[in-house]
Amino acid sequence: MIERHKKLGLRVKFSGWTVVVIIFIVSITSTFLIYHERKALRQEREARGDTIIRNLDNLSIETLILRDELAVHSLLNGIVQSEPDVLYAQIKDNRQEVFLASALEVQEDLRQIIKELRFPEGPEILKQYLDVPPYPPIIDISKLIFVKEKQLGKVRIGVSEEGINSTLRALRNNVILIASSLIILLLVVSYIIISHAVRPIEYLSERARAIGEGDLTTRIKLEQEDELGQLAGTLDSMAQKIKESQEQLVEKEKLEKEMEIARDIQQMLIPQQFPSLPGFSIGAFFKPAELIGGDYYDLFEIGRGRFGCVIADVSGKSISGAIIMALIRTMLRAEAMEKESPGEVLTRVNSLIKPDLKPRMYVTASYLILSPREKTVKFASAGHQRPIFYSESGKNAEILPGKGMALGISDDKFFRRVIEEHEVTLQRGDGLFIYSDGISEAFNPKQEEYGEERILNALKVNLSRKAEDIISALYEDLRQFIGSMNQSDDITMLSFKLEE
Amino acid sequence: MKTLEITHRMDKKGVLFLKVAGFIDASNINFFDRELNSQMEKGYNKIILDCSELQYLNSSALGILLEAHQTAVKQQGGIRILNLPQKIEKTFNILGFNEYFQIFSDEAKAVQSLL
Repeated sequence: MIERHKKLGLRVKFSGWTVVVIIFIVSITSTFLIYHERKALRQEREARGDTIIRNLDNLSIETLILRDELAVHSLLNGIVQSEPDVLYAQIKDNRQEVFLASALEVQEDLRQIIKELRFPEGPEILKQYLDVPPYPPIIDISKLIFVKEKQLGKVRIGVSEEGINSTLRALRNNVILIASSLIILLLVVSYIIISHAVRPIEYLSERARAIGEGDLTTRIKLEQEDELGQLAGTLDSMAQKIKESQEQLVEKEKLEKEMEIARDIQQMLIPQQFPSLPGFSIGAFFKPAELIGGDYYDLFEIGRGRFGCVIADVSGKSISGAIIMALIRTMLRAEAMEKESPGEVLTRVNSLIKPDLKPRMYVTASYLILSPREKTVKFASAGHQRPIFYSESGKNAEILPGKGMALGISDDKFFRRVIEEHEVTLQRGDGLFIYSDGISEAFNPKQEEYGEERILNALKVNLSRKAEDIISALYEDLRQFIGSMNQSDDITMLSFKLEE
Repeated sequence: MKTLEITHRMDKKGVLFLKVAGFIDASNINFFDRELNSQMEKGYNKIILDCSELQYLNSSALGILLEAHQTAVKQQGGIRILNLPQKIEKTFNILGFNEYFQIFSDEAKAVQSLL
């Protein structure tokens, strides 16, 4: 209702102003017009009066010389009758004899006034203006009558201005009539034009309100290239931008939520505590990255005093990645119970997981079987960073050999052909270190990779420490190397070392 | 800021050379994906990826490469890797990708393998 009122107001305001301006212009023009018309008419009257009085002057000379009173009267009467504007005509001879002819309406009171009117002193024409109600305004014109510089008498006439006023009244009435019709016409036209002009504004304000209420899908378009058309374009692109950023926000929130779920699943899969390995120290470290990464590790008993140890990395962090991780964990744990060979276990997991992986997903994993009693470790790597062997007594750290395709890429036959299995025997002070590419491919601000060499060096300087301390020392070294850079991938490492 | 530059070159025999220079990581992985797959959608399925100026590629990029290769093979094409820097070759070897992709240091031989 308020908007309706305002819209109406806009139209009335515009129309009102139009009318005020028109009335102003019409008044000024008509006043000017009437003033000039009055002036012109009066001048015409006066000129006419001058002509009449000169004629009268000429015609009266003879009658005055002859002293023909009858002729004077008929002359005066003739003038008054033939000239409707002449109210009276008067001739005085030099003997002060007065001859007066007048229109019927001229009463005694006016005669009295006329009697007292002045005559000119010289040969010029004298004009006097009378305003004696109820008579119309009168121009009294008087002249002296001369013959060869001898004054014979005096003549005067009274010309009514009645005609002027009625002409002017008629003119004013016409002006008012024309002006009023013009005003009404303009009022209608301006209302229509303004309504037309206001329509796009109404449309735009209606659309702007709709945007405010959340309608971002309706496109806004005006088929005009003026400022309003531009405003429509601006409004439209504004709505589009709001829509886009809203969608981006929703997408971002969705992604963040998804990441959070993936992280939760991942955390759930990481073992909270390790089984005790007789004679060994164990250390593990896991730090998930914000955006990507899908690492997991596991250490579990597989019977007959042996332990299975896994480190894996699913490409890309997502819910599907986390589910794949959970699947692999279960498959590995199940297969590990049945098979003695790490290569066989990985081959089996590859066959099982391949159908569940999206085309561009793959999983890298190392699987180790540790026998504390025999002090041996059998291992195989499916596309994962090779385990590192270190020896306190040998003062050495080295990358162990091995070949293998990442899980989920190739078929069973091909996978089996490529994968290699190796075994190491551990002496006291020997240990194994497994890790993910979040360490080897960590960058420092100079775009240098941490790399295998730095891992080996960090291990070599910490050989005398227990596995958990070696892990902490290595993380500290990595942290210093990365410096101000963000962690871009999950960091996972695990080590066990024979202490007895 | 890590940058990635991809340049295209068409061989007379219908082999597309894609030269990737710089880093492929999370910040530009979508660009790499789009560039590679838009070429494949245009019908190029014989692609030589020139890696001579490639400094790093992450696991997602390798996944994209893997899928592209599998698609190309189905269309009697394939992706060949040319001039793989030592550091990246190591990544390929760890993943077993060297068993899966044909890697060349001779351009002519790489082209030959696709014809």
